[in-house]
Amino acid sequence: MVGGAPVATVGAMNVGSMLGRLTALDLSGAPVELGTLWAREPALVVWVRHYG
Amino acid sequence: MFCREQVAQLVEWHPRFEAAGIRLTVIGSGSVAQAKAFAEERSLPFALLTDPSLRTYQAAGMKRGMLTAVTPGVFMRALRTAARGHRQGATQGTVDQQGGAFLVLPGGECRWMQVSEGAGEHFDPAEPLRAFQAPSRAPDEARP
Repeated sequence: MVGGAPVATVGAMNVGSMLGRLTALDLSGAPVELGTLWAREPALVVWVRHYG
Repeated sequence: MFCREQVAQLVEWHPRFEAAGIRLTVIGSGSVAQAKAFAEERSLPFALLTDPSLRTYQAAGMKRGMLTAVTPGVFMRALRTAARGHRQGATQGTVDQQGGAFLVLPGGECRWMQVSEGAGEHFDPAEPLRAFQAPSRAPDEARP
């Protein structure tokens, strides 16, 4: 969710630069930059299908 | 039901990731209210984020389309998942959006990744842990 810019698909090695500025929402609805997840420690980020 | 099973598996594995120093975060595709209810019902020990826009899914290269939702193996996987006690609930998110995972090191290097080809195709949580714990090879060692 970076403005209206088109989203490029990342390769395996440039995750930090390509995904780091994108945001998802926390449970209060506040945007969280994905890069903050792995800024200080290794991060396993798992995308699930839906909540059903 | 696949999502419920995968999240239950991640809850079980969370202490091992935590012990290894790996921060676990799950991203779903429903609304904030749906994500909040899902997290509260399960008392998730890790962060749950949500991306109704699907832009992070798209950028991460996750598969999408009905052909990925109804693959040849999906019915057998559904039966196995149901047999393990995970029932299908109301779909809260995008049904034809598949998931995946990245293990990212500080600095942004990707150590391991998985992109699901179809519904219910989850990674073995041991895989990213093994990838993290495996010694990284220096460039000279990789040469023949």
